[in-house]
Amino acid sequence: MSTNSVRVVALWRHNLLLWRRDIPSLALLVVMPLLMIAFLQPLYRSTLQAQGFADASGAEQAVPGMTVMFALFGAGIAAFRFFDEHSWGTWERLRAGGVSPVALMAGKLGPPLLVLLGQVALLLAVGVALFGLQIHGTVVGLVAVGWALVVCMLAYAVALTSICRSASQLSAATNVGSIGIAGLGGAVVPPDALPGWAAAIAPATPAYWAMEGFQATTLEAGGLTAVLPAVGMLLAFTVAFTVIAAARFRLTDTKSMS
Amino acid sequence: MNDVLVVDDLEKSYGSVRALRGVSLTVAAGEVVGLLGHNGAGKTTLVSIVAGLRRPDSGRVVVAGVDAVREPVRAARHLGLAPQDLGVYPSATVAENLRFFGGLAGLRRVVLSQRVAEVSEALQLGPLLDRRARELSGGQKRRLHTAAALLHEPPLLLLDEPTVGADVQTRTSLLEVVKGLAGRGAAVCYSTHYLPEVEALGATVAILENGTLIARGTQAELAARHAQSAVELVFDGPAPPIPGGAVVGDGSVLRVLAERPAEAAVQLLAALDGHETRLTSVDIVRDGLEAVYMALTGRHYEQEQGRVD
Ligand SMILES: Nc1ncnc2c1ncn2[C@@H]1O[C@H](COP(=O)(O)OP(=O)(O)OP(=O)(O)O)[C@@H](O)[C@H]1O
Ligand SMILES: [Mg+2]
Repeated sequence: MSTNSVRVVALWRHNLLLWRRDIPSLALLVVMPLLMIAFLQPLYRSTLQAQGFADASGAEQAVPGMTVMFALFGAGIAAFRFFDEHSWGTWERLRAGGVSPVALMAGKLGPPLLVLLGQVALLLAVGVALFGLQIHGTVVGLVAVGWALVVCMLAYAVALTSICRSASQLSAATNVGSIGIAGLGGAVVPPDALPGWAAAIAPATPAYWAMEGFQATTLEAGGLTAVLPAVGMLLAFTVAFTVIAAARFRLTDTKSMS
Repeated sequence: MNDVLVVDDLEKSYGSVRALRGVSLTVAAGEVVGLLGHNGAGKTTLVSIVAGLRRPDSGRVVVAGVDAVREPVRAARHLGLAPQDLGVYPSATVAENLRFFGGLAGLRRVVLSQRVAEVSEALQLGPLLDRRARELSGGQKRRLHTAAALLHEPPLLLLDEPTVGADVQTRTSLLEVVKGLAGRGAAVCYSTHYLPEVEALGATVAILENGTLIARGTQAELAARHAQSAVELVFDGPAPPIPGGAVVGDGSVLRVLAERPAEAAVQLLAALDGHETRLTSVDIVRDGLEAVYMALTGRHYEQEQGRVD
């Protein structure tokens, strides 16, 4: 193994350990959305049925909706993982550790990639097993949308980290951003039921496209081509967030904790 | 040439603060250099630039033959840094912290386990290996923090105030470890506010003052060049003017240079002429590093700094 890969493996192991030790965050990412799904499903059932999806269980809105909203929260927590390093005084040690900047980012982002993929997979699986989520379309398409969402969320996490200077800014941005983006994108209220102004800007959010992609394969019997626009737009958002991150992220930045 | 660290004409400003003003310094393999200087003198700035954490405005840094300004990542592979501010993972155990920092430095498997065992033994972390770092005392954390920098036995070791908050035993074992590493060829930069440590290490000395290197050499060289013993009388209120004496500090200290300070003290006390009622202490300053520091800067080293223990 090259010395860089030894270091990246060390970073992965260690960062996975830090995620594992943070039970409250993991609970937020999985338990909260499941509770929300349980609360919201009956309401969504009647909404969807009124829209003409006669055999809808409500899970077709509740499960992807809460998955999207809590993937956004997951991105916020991934951003906090950078802030943690600053508050623990370990960021400078990482930077002086002889790791290239790219390897350092790969080391920091590998574990949240796994965590978010696990979160999305788990929520969808539980959705099918417990809440009667039906997958009418292609499973491969569903998986592609899930991956695209997670990759997009990682880029969003780095963009958030690069823009926020303090933990309180990040906390506000995470909360407002998660609920705002999810809400605007039709993850909380189905897009058709959004107020007009919100429906108009909904496509400007990654949440909208994730919902489109998920619903194309759950609510509707879409094939691979049906999810292509959604996957494409999520990747476009990934590029946009990456551009922001590349322009703003500085390894030498310091972050304040208040 | 066996200079592990070469620093040449280093300049660094933070806005209008000139933190380093043309500092040049070389440290040889096997050499421990005590980096001295009052708060804000530029010690941490110098160490951070060497470690690649900050960019200098100008000047050159070479670590084990690698240009640390142009190739900070490659240069960093030849050094170990224990920053002044603690940096450990609170939710990880001592062993997990050590294994991670060892892995980050490129160690793995048997070598990693071996080094973790050796270093934790040397710094008395053995019994604490399974303890979460957040449950350690301040001194124990500092030991873990320092241990994490030495695991890979780097050719250049940068220890920025490693004994802050350490008790006597910890300090002694750390000094032993540092001596051991230097004995095996490491170059060590050791910044401290505690001169006896530098003396115990038999370190060479580099004194920074307002970003300038004002002295560099072995302790013996500096003592021969600069040190003078003196008597200091401290008064409650302004020190009385006495011929041959200098009023220093906040005006309450009278300093008289003397080759035989004890004799001089007796004579001075006899000549106080009523002011002895205000006398609060009589100090004799000997020709160690303290005297060198005082001769060069006009100030005491430790008293002024107020060590944090
Ligand atoms: N990030 C920074 N931004 C602005 N000024 C700084 C910064 N870091 C250090 N300085 C200034 O640079 C000068 C040198 O600071 P430095 O931390 O190098 O001193 P030091 O010798 O390590 O002091 P100490 O003994 O207190 O640790 C000081 O005047 C300090 O105020
Ligand atoms: Mg300092």
